[in-house]
Amino acid sequence: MLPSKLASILIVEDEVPWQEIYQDMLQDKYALTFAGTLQQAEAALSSNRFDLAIIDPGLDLRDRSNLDGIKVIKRIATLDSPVPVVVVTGDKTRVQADDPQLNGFIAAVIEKSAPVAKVTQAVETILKSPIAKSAETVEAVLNISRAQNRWRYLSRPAPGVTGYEAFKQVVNQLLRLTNADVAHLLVPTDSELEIIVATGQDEGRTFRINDSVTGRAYRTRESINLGDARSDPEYKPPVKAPQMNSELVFPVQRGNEIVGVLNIESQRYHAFGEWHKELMSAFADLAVLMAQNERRQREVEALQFIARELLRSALNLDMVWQSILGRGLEMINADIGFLATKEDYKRLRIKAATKEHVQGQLLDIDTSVAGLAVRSELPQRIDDVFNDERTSLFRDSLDPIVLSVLAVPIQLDNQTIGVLNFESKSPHAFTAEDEKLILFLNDYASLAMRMERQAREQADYEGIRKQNTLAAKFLHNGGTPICNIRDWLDEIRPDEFSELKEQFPNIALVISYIRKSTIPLITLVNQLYDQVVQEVSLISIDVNATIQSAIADALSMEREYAVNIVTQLAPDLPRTLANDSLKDVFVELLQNAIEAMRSAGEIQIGTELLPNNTIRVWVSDTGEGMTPIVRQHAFNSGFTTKNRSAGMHGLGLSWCKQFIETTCKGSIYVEHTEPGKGTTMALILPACANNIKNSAFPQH
Amino acid sequence: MLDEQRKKVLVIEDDPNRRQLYYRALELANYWVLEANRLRDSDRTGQDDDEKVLSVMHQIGRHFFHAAVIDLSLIKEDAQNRAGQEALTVINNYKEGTKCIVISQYGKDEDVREAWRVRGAYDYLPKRTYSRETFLVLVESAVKEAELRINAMLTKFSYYILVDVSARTQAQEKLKSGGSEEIRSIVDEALRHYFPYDLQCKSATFESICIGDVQHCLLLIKLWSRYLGGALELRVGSREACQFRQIALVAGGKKSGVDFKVCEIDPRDKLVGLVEYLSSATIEEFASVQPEQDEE
Repeated sequence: MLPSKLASILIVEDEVPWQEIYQDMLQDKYALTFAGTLQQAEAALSSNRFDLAIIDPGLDLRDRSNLDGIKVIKRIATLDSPVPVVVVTGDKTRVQADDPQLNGFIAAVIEKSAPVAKVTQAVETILKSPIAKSAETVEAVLNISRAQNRWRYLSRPAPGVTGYEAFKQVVNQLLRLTNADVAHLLVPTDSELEIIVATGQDEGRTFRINDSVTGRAYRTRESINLGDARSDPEYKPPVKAPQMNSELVFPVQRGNEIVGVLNIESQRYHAFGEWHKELMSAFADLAVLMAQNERRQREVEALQFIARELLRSALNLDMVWQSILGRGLEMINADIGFLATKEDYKRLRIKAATKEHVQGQLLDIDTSVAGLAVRSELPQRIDDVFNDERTSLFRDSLDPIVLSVLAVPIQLDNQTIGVLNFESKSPHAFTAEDEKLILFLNDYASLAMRMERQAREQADYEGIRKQNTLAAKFLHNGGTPICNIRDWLDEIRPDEFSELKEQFPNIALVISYIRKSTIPLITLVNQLYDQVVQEVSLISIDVNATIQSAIADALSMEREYAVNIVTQLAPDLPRTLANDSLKDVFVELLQNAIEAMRSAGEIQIGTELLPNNTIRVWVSDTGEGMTPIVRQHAFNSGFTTKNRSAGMHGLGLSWCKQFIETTCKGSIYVEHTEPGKGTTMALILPACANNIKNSAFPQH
Repeated sequence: MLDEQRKKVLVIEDDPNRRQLYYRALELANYWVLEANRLRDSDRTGQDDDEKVLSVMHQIGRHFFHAAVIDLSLIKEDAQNRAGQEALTVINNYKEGTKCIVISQYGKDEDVREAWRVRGAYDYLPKRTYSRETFLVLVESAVKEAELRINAMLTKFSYYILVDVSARTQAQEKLKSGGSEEIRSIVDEALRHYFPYDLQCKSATFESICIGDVQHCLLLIKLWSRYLGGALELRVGSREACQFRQIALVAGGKKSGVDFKVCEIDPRDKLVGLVEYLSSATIEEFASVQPEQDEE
């Protein structure tokens, strides 16, 4: 590969949020090609050469069993020069690594719940050393196996991560101050202690807890000072180091809990005294403090990550559940866990789980600790499941290997909607602090739930809108032909029809039936128009505010008139369902009033709430008034007796009437008029609840 | 035959079925109806291949209309298209007093508001409440109002530029009588009552006629009148020459669609004008005639 050329990566991923994640992470350093389907991937593979492929096995969100991604890998396996593959999946079990066809091509399998940085690391590692193609190698390099992170407060950070450097400093300082030759920091794994930081070459070495000096200190929680270490039968000398003669072991405690062991050794006999012990005690505290800080930092990062994921995948709850569970497991260093949501009043459904549980499985609320948390709406931390009275009623149905459980309910709007449940095969696995952390995490779970609910509401709304768009399309395309039938039938004049009746009675009969049938059809179309299509475009409107804005508009259009507009707007007026055209109605009424007054005068515009929950709007002027004929035809389109060329708005009022009656379901009328004195126009609009818009039609 | 008594209505509607409905109703009510189904010539027409049906731009370029009936949506497949609104603007930009009646579709209240508030529609008729009677009443009131406007505008028109610039000296010499002022007044008077609006494809040339042994000269002006929607020729010259020409036309009688009128206005009785309507001529024929350059 030429240095100037970017390594090219094929990304086979159907979910857009993940595509975006990859784009953000990798686009600066690599040339990316995205494929969302099997076909796209195959097309890309046949037209380009890639240095690496990142593949999601499932390429159809709607179909969980879709394994098109695996087909892509198989296709890669048939290439002349196969491309190393990094599989990124929400469910590791879907990639059968033992499939002989795939083996050797999959360089790494990374779960989507793991930090995304792991993908970057994997990509970098593979592209730097093309030999490292087997899954095991990369796993080792990435150190992503959580089993190694058993130790809960001094977990072993990956090299290069701040925490490790901090511990290394602690151990080095300790070595310098105590004049010792070797110093170690050990953390417990299942039945052993593992050296996570060493000044020598012992990192990664393990000691059995029941057969080592450090193990003894861990067991007894007492410091051990050996002046002649080799005389102790449990003493294990360090690897590749000169012979050591004295050893000081100090348990690292956090509160009442023992979390690790510090150990120094010297070639001298009786090298350590009380002073060294005090020093060790201080360093042990320091190590705990640093571990706590490091852990907090990781927690913050984890929560930030969750927040990011929430934003990225707000519509894909499964992904969020998986991610939250993954973070939870990491935060409290648990191995087994599941996230379940309430299915109905007596069952929970597992939405995300580690391999010990089955996703989609139903749990009985009455016979599980998770159910206990849901019923009580309180976190349940049980240190010894088989000796706790809370589980006494359903002990028979519990998994015999699970000894401690932490179940924290997920709440949304004061209602328990689910539970985050962690389990351990050892007793006393969870602390009060874990409980708090998970409570905190559950806020994100409920946030996700809320977002999902909103998304669903939005989807419902979109659904309604789609239906209405369909209805509008029907009216637009279907309404006209139906009107055409009516109007063409209308073209047959009565005399023509009677003539036809005489000559062709049969045809006349057919025509009269067609005519009769169109009437209900037209009525139906009109009803559809009134009820469905109009409603979508309606929003709740503040009548007073609309009037204020209409006054401004009307005055700006009619500068030459010196009119005084007085408003009498009722406070706390409910809103009405209409659309922006309502303003034009007011503008029209105001303009008519201004014109009617010719010169100066006063216009009053007011609103009031009537007892029958309707809004009355009136506009009165001191203008020329209307004659009875004008009044009779005021709202008729095309029948106006006004001289329109002089600027009168015959169309305006007919349009207003049409709009107010069909769209707003209100009415408009001439309330009072007296020639020479003035006119009062009135509008009745139905009032609606102030919050109706939010509930029925979310605004976008 | 051009009929200046019939009022012109332009029907703009892409649905042939609906367009026929308006056409029939208006035709029976004795309007001169022209049809358009798209805004520009280049716009697609769908399956509508009636040759009489042209674009709005085409029709409005050749004709003045008293009223236009406009369907706001001119592309069936695209409910959002603005072609109808644009047509409304195009027509109103001519400022000839053409009144536009908008026929609104279902669910298109907003469009009506725009047509009326922004683009100056005269009136509207929703399809759902359409009836032949309402429609005709609307058109009648629109046409009446357009006529008021036309009468107010009649006196604003003048043609002296045409005569003065292109053939003033020639005209004076060749016609051997009268001055440019007289020629202008003849032309003005002859055209004023018939062609109040923009006349296109103007040209002024000379025509020689031999009456016995005497050569007579006529100033020949070819015009397209949008008001009439047709072509016309105006000849100005001595009474003798004009009458000779008129007799020849009457006697010939074969030139189909020719109508003429002699205007006797000149007080000194030296010059008269003869107007011919050429109903068979198209605007394209006139476009090819360029005004003759003054040889001086």
